[in-house]
This record gives sequence, structure tokens and C-alpha cells, in this order.
Amino acid sequence: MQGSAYRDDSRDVVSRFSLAARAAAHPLHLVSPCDACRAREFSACASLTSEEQSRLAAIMRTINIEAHRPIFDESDAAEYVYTITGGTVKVYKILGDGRRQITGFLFAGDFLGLIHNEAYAYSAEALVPTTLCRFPRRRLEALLIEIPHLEQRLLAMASHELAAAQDQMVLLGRKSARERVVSFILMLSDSATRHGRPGDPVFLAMSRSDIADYLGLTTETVSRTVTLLKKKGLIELLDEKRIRLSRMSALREIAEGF
Amino acid sequence: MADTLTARLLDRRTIDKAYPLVRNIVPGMTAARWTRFVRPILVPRSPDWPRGVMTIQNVAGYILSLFAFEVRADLHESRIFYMDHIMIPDLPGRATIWASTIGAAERLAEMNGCRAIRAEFRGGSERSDRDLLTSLESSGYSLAGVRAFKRLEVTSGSGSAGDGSDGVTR
Repeated sequence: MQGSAYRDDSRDVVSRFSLAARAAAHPLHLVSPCDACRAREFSACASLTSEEQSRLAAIMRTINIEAHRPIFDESDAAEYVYTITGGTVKVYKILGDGRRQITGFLFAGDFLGLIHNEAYAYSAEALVPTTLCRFPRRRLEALLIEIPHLEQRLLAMASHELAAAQDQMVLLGRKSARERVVSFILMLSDSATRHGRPGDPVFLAMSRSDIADYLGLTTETVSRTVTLLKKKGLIELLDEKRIRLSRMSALREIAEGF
Repeated sequence: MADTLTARLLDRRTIDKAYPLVRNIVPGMTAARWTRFVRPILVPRSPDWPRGVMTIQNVAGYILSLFAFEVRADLHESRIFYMDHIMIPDLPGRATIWASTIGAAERLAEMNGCRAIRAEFRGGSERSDRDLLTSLESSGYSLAGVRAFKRLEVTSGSGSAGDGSDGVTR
């Protein structure tokens, strides 16, 4: 992996302060990085007992990645798997002709690290400052044998890269640019709700160009479609990154092709 | 644990959805080539001799594995269940996916009155192949028969060699 820009959370002053504050407030409470994790409820860790949580935490390391920096590259040796605990990640493949194809966007709670022949199957890049739990793959696999419901939970989540790519295929099956863009916005809204964040307004961590790449459209078409949706009063652009869903039922009908 | 995974037949509407899994196992595979390959398999030769593609899906409906199957006449076994193009990604917890995949094949074989199952995979040194062999052996399978393979040199203009790729890997 080149240009990897992660930093160890032990240098994160805010994080250390909040853990120290918790420890002071509850001196008998064991403090682990998982205690303060906002993504835990929506991630693979949700079903774990505190003892299992501690065993998982013992092999885990928290890393922070700056915006627009790679987490790993496709075909890098896959030594680790990750759970995103904050931020947004785009996953992509480099095609045979050298072009890049974005296959999905992943969020807090999502699991990352699909492998083929001991190498990562996709490249992953942080879109905004992103925090991840990093697990050595072999040690995690050994732990899965001992904690069967963690394995069950991981299976239920699948690899989110694979799931996101399957969502994309469904989305690309829609015919018009309008259907694709609306479906994408609603997908982000639904995903935010599933992960315990507000689904409206929808936060767009990705650029118009990334959206266009993901939807198989040009950037101009994405921008034109968003403008049209706004003119029809279906959405409201609060700012460059936030969209208010003004007429949800009408948007759902468009997404379904009515 | 097995109830978290469900076996479902692939149909024309889900061909596209299976594509990312196929691309993961066969890098460079195009959507067009996958579709051209799989479409005919989804149509049985006759009601008595079914064939198709079985998928294993998680609770959210995402496809975690698949295999192609066909019920064939066999001189020794009468009816034999043949499975190939077995595609299982390298995910944490894949042992359960292997077990579900093999279980789905065996149920299908029994439903179709087959007396034996023949599972074929590429047999390379890849970890997925080693895992598959280990899973099959622990489920009572043994190595039987020999399949020889030779890749032929294809001259340009020989028609079927081209995959008609649209050049887009999606």
C-alpha cells in the first residue's frame, strides 16, 4: 500500500481524554476503546458479551485515516480486515484498461476486507477523516472458531464490499439517470437510518464525480439530474453536501420506476 | 447457524446481482460474459433433467456463494448430480458458507433422485480450492476419477474464442 496515512489512536488526545474521563467517573469499570464506540451497535460486535468484546479488542487496533488517503489497495497482501467506526469509505476496482470503477460506499458499522487469493479484492479509500478497527485476519479467524455468534453476525453482514457491489448491480439495472440518482440518494438515506444516523437530510460524503462513477453516468448528468429534482420540489439542497428529501413518497415512486 | 443462510435458485432477474461475486472469484470477468455464460444454464434441458445455478444468500439477501448444477445420466449411477463453477469468497466465517453450499447441493441431488454427486473445481493451489477439498472430505466425499485438462491454442477468427466483451467490468 502506498501513501497509507493512518495514525494510531493512542495519539488521539480527544479520545484519550474521554476514556480517561470515563475511567475517573467509573473507577471499577474496565475501559476499552469499544466502550466509546458509536458504531458498535450496528457492527459485527453488536452481539458480543463484554468478555467476548474484550477478547476481540485485544487483537484489534484503532487507526485513523485522513480524507482521500488509501486504506489498502487491490492486490495488496490481505493481512487485516476492518470495521469502520466513523467516516465514509469508497471501494473500487481498477479495470483492465486502467480505468477506475467505484463499486460501493461504506459507512460506520460496515465490515471491510474481502479477499481473493490472499490479496484484497478491492481498493479502499477514506472519503472523509475515517476511523477503523483493524483486526489481523488470521487471529480473527481463530477467534471466530471460539465465538460462533460473531461468525454468524459476520455472515449476516457479509462483506460489505460484496454487498455494496451487489446493490450497485441492482441500481445499474434501473434504466434512467433519474431513477439511478434518486435510488442512490434513497439508498444513502436508508443506510444512514440503518446505522443509527438521521436519514434526512442525506449527507453526501462523496463528490459528484464519485457518484457519477458509481452510477455509470457522467458528472454533468448527475448534476443536471439533481438540479431537476430540486426544481420539481422533490429535494432541497441545504448545502453542497446535504440534501433534504422534501417529497419522500414521490422519490420512492421514481426509484421504483413509476 | 445454518438458518442465517438460505439456498435460492438464480433466475434471470438475479444474474446481475451475482456478478460481483463471480468477478471476485474470476478477476477480469465482464458482466456481459457472465450473463452470456449463465443464461442458457438457467433453462433446463427437460423437466426430468434439471440444471441451473444455486446461490447461498444471507438474511439480507446478498449472495455469498453459488454453483452450477446439472442432473446427468450416468452408466454406473443411473442419475448423477454434477456441480461445478463453485464460487465461494474468502470471507471470515466461510466454513459455514462451505457447509451450506454442500448441504444445498446434497438436498437438490436427493430431490432429483440422484444416487451420487460429482463436484468439480479447478484443483489449483488456491486457498479456496484447498478449503473446498477439506470441506468436501469432512462431509464424506473422496477423490474419485481423473479429469485431464489441456488448454488449446486458439487461432484468431475461430469464432467462439471471443467473449464478446463490452470492455466494461461491471
